[in-house]
Amino acid sequence: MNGLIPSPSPVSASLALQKALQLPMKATHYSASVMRQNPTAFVFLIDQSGSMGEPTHYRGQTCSKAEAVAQIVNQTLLELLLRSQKGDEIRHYYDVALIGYGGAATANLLWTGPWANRPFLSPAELVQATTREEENVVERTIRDRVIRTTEKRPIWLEPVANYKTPMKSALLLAESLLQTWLQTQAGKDVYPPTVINITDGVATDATHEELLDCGDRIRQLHTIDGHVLLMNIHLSDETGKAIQFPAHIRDLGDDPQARLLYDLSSEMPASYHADIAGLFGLDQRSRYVGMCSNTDMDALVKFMNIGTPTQHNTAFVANFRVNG
Amino acid sequence: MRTYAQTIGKEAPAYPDNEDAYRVVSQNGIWCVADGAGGTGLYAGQWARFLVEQVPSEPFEDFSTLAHWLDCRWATFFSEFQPQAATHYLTERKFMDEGSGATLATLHQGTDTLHWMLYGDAVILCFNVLSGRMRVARPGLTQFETAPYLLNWNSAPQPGGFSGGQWTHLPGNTYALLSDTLGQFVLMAHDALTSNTTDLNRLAQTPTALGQRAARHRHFWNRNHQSFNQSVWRPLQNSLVSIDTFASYTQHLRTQNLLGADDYTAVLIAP
Repeated sequence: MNGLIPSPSPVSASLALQKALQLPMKATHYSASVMRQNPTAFVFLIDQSGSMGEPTHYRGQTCSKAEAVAQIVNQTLLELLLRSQKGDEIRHYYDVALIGYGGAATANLLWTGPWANRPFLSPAELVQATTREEENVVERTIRDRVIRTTEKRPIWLEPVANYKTPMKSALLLAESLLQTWLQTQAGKDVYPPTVINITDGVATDATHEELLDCGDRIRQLHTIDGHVLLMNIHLSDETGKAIQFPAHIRDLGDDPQARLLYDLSSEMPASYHADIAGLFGLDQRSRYVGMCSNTDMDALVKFMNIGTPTQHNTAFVANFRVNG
Repeated sequence: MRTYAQTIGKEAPAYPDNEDAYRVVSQNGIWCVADGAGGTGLYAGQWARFLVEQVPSEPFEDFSTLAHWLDCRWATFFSEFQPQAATHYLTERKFMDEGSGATLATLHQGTDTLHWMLYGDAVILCFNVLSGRMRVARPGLTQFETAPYLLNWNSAPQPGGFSGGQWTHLPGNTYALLSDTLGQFVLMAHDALTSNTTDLNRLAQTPTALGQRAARHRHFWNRNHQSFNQSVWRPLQNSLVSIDTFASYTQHLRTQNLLGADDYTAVLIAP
């Protein structure tokens, strides 16, 4: 799985994908266990356009949106790794891809060094794919005993804010990676991939209609356990009430970017509803769309975590707050 | 009383890992099962094995007895595994942040009674094969809908996770300690076969893997209606004669979608 190439040979790959997508889905979706025999996948799309250099407020400090997103993505990748850690072993519970879009006209895979151009990394490879590590001294009190340790924080993503916003290119690349990934999972009861797009800007390479077409195609991809979940995190400059998992487009006001991202996003599976309501303090309702807008960064973390099915969400959020 | 017990990991035979543990001391009348929580912290299997080895000869009378017992023992486990965790920043971080978690179920034989104690969502049952009556230490399927309470070395237990009690031993009584998912199977099958389906019906409406299994039980036992003893209890007991028969039995239940994917442990005590 780890040597996936995004452009499979056209005829055989197309047939394999068609075959995979023709398999009937289970009656109850999103119920597959994430296990070593059946890993799932995560694809992060990171807006690295010029506007990500604008300031935002994050954890009591002013920093650029790009810095805030880098911290959050790094923390989430670390959390994914921690979920894979069993005893002294790192298990292959998922494959992770990181796509950046900014600067040039096309999106790029963001792994670097020996992992450059590799679309997906396994958790064991992710450990080795850091660009650097930061160290902090941490004091914990465990049952009245104070324990001091030097804690390392691995860094995979550095803040980048540069020029254009080729979001369509990023969606197309994600689609291509997922198609290849899904071909290898045909017929397996695999928890479907999760795509998380983090953006503040206006796409410079497509109209809204073209982006919606890309989103539709991604959301139509599926395993027998369910469709790919496409979630969007909108970093707006606007102040005001944060919108999390809206039920209706009217909840988003008039911001055309927020409304576009709403239309791009998957409706969250019913099996997530109770967790979403509990974690975010939202009302119980019958519809939650997988996006947030005008949100602070803490809500962003919680949002990303919801899309990570092997995590114990409550523990993670509590843990993140303690350590942040 | 004779004890039948087996444990097997969820990914067997592909992987040998098993985070459940049990301990039987028949001559002293002690039976216990711990279910290590792989989703929490590190070394769940080792923690489960540590807990069952540490279970005292006297029953846990109340919550404070359990809390005091854990308070006196956690540091031994921590001291043993902290250096191992510290060999890599990831393991150290996870171990220190999340600890190690497990549920615990114990049964202690008294003169005419059996004392039971539960922390978390393991299942302890008393089934009388003569009367067909089943008693459950903590009844109800709804307990499986939320994350279980776990005994963890890094934090004190919570009173809400504790249940304790005793059963008078009667002729025909058999007892079982089951890890959660196998316990769910037995409770769902029992509810379906005894038409006690309020919980089962409600659960079957929920869009989760647990709800899916509840729906499957409702349908399956409606078409395969025999006594609980005949169709569930006796086959379970028979499966415990060897690891192979237990593996075959649980795999059969899995293929029928009656049993979720998990480590499985059963300790069954019968005349």
